[in-house]
Amino acid sequence: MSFLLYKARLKCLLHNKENMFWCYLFPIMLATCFYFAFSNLVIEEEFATIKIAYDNEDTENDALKEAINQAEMTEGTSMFAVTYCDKEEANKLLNSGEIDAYIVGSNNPELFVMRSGLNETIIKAFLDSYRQMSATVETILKNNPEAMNNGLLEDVMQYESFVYEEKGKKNPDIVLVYFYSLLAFTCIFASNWGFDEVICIQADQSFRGARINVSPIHKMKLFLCNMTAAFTVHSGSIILLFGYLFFALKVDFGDNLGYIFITCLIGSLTGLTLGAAVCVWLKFKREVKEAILLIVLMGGAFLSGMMMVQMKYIVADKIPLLRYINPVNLITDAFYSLYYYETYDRYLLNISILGGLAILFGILSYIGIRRRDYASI
Amino acid sequence: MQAFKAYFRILKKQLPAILIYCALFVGITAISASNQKGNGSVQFNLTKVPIAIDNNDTENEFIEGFLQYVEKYADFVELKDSDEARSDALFFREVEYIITIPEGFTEEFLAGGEVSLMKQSIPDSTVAISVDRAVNNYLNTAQTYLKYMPEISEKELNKFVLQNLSNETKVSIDRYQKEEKENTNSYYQFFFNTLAYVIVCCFIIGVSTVMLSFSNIDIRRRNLVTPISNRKINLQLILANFIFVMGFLLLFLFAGYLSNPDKGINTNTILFWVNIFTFALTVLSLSYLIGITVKSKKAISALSTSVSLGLAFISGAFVPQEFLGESVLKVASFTPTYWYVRANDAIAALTSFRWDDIYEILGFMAIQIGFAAAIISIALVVSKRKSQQAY
Repeated sequence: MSFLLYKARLKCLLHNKENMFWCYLFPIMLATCFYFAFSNLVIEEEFATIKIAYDNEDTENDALKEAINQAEMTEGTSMFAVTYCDKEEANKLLNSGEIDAYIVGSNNPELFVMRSGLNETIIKAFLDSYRQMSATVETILKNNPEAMNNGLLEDVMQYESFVYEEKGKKNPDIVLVYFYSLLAFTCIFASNWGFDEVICIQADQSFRGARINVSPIHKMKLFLCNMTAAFTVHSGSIILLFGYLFFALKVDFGDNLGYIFITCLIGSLTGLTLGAAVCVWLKFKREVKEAILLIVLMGGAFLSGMMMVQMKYIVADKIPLLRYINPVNLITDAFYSLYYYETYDRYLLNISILGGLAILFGILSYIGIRRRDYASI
Repeated sequence: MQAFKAYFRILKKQLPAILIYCALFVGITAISASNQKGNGSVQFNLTKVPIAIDNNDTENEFIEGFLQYVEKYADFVELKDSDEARSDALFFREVEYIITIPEGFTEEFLAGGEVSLMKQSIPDSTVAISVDRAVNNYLNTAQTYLKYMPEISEKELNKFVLQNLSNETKVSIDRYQKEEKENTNSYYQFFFNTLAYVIVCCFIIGVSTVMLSFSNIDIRRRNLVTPISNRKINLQLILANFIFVMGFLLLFLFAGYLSNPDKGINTNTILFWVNIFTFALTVLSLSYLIGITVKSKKAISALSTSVSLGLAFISGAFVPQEFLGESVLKVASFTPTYWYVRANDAIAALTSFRWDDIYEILGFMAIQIGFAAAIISIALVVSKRKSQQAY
């Protein structure tokens, strides 16, 4: 009997075109949009050889020219791509945006830029250090005239690196948060399904509910069957979205796919029970309740960084409590900590609170639905 | 003017949804606008990178001098003292570089030993390279001093190094346009690009829902038996649509003017307005087409969200076109939003207004009009077919 009820509800849900669109197609569409829009953002942060022009009066003996040509950003990537031309030509190149800056003069170089920016700062820092070398040599010679014979010039020209990247750290790829929060949002979107299930079973909410209440079936049994059906259909949408993100868009979820899967399922369950609890306990018209639920969902997604990644950090920094009660953020943070951290402490904390919320909402819905009878509606 | 009045009566019911979008948009724009940095200044400033220092060494003069130099290229951000807080801050770009100074660093360095600093940064990023240079520059210079003047005191060392490193190159800003007009334009560029999303979303919700009500077969039959001719009804609806669109646009032009910190109106601003007007006509025709084709209100909400978001993302309304892939832009060029955003970007960059400069922008607007004409033609065919089916 239970299986029959479950099957019937499954069919019913699959025929709800609107819900199917929002759960199955919409997240995939949004993920595609994110992918196209944001995939180049990280590349934009990456270093690219800076284009400059150089106008030198003294072509014979030009140490600066040599230094510019030899400067390297990282091994194998040169710092500058230089065009040699006169000032007039360089000015044209600068204003057409083909170069970031041009340098005039070799002995006392002057820098011309169009605006203040990071590339311009790097060029200036480079020229500064070039000038500073001679100042250093001068000061040392004043105090130690013998230095020149001991290889001072070579030492000044030598450039040693003192900073090393800490090993074993994951790449802080900020774009991932968009995808994580989208997946989290899709999980919590199950609340719309939970909401509908309560509408369909409560006699004061819909005609179908009234009809069900006079039928000989046990209400709680039917409700559980319906919720299981909703959970099944909704889980399908999550698996589809995850598969799309992981296999098609190659989003990096770290190495623990099992944990990711558990997070998705608990997230979906939390969503279902959240929707049910909201529908049971809020005593308004259906439209108003739907609007409130939507605000909770969208607000949760916004605060966990789906529209603006930094929002997630701002919330965690300024209102720490909010990050622990916002289910969308809990799921996003669980994905994030699985990817970024080597230990599982933070992940376990997130997932425990999330599970706690699911149980809390479940109990609330149960208390609200059980033994509700009506003499008249 | 019955049809005209009926249009606005139905529209009134959609008003809350539309107003929510408006308020949301203005709010988000206001937040984002505060992050918009115009770089039209006529003075050169070094771009500083937000960094965090985790100093495990003692606080001493050498470290102080070192940090004093690094501060020229970096803004120090105070973070909570835990690895997690630092890693989070780096991930979300609160800081873009973290230096860890190990215990005993100063002592070892001054004694000429092998030392190194640990960093956490965004790999291969321009910001990391900028900070790397500053750090290495200071330490290399200090090392040279230590080698040739071994008796030098910490204080002296700092003094010499900072003195040498204060030797700076002269930098001049050299561009044709020296006024600070860029700020007004960059704000409007951002504002109008994002507006592309809101306009598409609101017009489809507003116009399509009303048109859907009029294209209901029973209503159409009812309208056919009225003493008002079909032509008149259509004209009134067109007028009503037009007024809705214009009213909506004016509201936003006004909001844009108020929220713009510069409050300037120049030739660029007027071109922005003309461009958004052209785009509004295109979106109006699209909404009209959707309104007469779809069958239910639920489909309209699904369509308005998908179409507006989809167009906005691939055409560069949210993320600038320069950051989008070539193939994405190729696909986007088959949509009017792409040409609208392109025109906006071109207008923002415009510094002189000769025919040769404006010519290209007018071309982009003409393409949008072309889209409008094409969509309207399709709508006319659909509507003709529908009217034939009605009998």
